[in-house]
Amino acid sequence: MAVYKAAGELAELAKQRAADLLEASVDDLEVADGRVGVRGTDTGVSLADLAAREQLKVETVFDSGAASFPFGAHVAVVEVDVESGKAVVDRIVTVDDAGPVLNPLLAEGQRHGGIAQGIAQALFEEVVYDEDGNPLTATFADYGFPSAAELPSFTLVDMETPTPLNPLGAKGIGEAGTIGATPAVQSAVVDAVSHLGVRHIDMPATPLRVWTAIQAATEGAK
Amino acid sequence: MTSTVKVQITVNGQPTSADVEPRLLLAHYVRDVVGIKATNIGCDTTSCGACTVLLDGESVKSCTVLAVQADQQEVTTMEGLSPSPDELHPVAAAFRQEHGLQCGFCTPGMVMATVSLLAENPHPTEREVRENLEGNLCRCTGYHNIVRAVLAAAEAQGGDS
Ligand code: FES
Ligand code: FES
Repeated sequence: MAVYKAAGELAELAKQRAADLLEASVDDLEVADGRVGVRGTDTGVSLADLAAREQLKVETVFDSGAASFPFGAHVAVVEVDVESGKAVVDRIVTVDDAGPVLNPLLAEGQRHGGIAQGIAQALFEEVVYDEDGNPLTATFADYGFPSAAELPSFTLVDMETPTPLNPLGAKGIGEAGTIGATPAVQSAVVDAVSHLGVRHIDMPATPLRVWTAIQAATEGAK
Repeated sequence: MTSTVKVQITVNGQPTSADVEPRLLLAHYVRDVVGIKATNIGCDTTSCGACTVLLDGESVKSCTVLAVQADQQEVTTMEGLSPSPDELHPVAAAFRQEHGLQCGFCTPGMVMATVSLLAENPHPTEREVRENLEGNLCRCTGYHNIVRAVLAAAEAQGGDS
């Protein structure tokens, strides 16, 4: 937002300088293709020339005054093998509303990566220490990091609700995936075994934890 | 005194040769002796696949191969894949087209693993792609666009089914 605002202010400054130089009214000028020109004519001056005469520089601060509110919803379909406790994500459908998006390719990439990390946090990833404080998950051989084989392709649904708090209407997207995917997957795991009496499983829902929760619930029921 | 061994390795079609310590890893040979840096080292312990190169056409994790094991053989890295930036190898082109990367650290390894996968199985299913790339980790993309890129590359390459 600060860049957007500064760019606008810089364009105004360039127009004022150009107006003096071209003896034109600021209102008749437009900035396009690296030039300030008099609308409807060939008369104009390049931004480079203007800057060569005197540095074109503005400093600005953007303060949104309040936090914007990106929102969304994630739905996960998870299958649990009750014999082994292993949970597999079959499908995940996500809506993440970041307001108007300037670069959909990058925004989708952020969502993909976040969803994967969110799923992984629910099912695999955990930093573990022994009681003396030695790290037990210091390599990829010990730390549960998902490969392509553990994840499905994702279904992304778009929604754009601009925030009134900034001129572009833009909100955050970077962490949307990790925020939504983790509880969606974790809740789906618990839901999948709730008919056995399970009400809670700590994250990450590794096969051992799921299996132990199923044993505890079914033992209790006997 | 460290004893060294002479190796002759063809890297991306160019003969290279050096006296190396027997413990030198192929990944370090390529990066430090030959001096080409596309091949990344992520873990040094055969877990992440960032260092994947082709050794006589087959993908290997170059952090787990000694330079002396590659003696008299051919190594292909990401640099040797595409004739020029304007003329990308179909797999590299597909990764670009499908945005199969974000930070790019895993990308050279992913691309080399894909080249090897498609040489063995020109028309993989999505499941086969996912299982074959299991040895290559990516933190950024969630693999979504990587898998799409591999499938697109398979499509683009045509070949026998
Ligand atoms: S650096 Fe070779 S597998 Fe990670
Ligand atoms: S693109 Fe960053 S690790 Fe794969």
